[in-house]
Amino acid sequence: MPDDARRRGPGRVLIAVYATFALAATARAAYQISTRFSDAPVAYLLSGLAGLIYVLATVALVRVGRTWWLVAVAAVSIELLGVLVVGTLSLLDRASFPDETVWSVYGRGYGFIPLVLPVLGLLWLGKTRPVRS
Amino acid sequence: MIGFLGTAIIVGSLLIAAWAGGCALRRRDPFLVVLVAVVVTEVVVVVQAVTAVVASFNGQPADAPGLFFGYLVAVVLVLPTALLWARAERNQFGSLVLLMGGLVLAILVVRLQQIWGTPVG
Repeated sequence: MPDDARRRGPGRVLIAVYATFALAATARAAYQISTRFSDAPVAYLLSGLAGLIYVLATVALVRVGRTWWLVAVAAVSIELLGVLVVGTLSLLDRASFPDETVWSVYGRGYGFIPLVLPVLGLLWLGKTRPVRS
Repeated sequence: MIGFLGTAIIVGSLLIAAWAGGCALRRRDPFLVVLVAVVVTEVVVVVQAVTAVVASFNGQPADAPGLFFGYLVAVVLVLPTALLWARAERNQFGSLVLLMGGLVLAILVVRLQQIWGTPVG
């Protein structure tokens, strides 16, 4: 398997989706935190964390090598955990999540792509697992 | 924000998305006509962005300047970025990347019009 297998074929499309979410979530969180942080500090901080995880996942998917593969697996796993936990919390505790964040209600505001994306990401990382050298 | 330019960009981006989607279905890289559509649409995007910046300094300030200019930068960069990323691999996956770029641009322009306060159309 070539070194850059992760960013070839379906990986190229996956990375494009990740980059879009990295930008959307980071920009949205930066805006929320800078303009009305006190309205919903928990939600906005989680929103910012989500953005950073998308950025990390995007970078790790683009870079070659086993270490970056591990970083990508970690980032995408945290992402899956995050969307499940935040999605559930946003349903149970509406008061803490008055404003939409990227992971609210499992990413409903973004067509549930945030829920599907980490699953596809893990499948793709499984398919492109680097061989031990 | 000039209404008809916004509409032109939305039409252009959806055409790019549809055409690129067609190329992807045929399992090939984007046809030349898609690339021409990308360049033409990007020219309109840049004209629109410059007009918007000029207008915002001439008595039509945006309600939320930070948000507005953030979207404006994204709108200008999305097609060139998608094109570069798509052309690095000349197959149906490159077409899918352009399909995505077109959809993202359409969404961004609609959001931009909401922020600016101009109705779509």
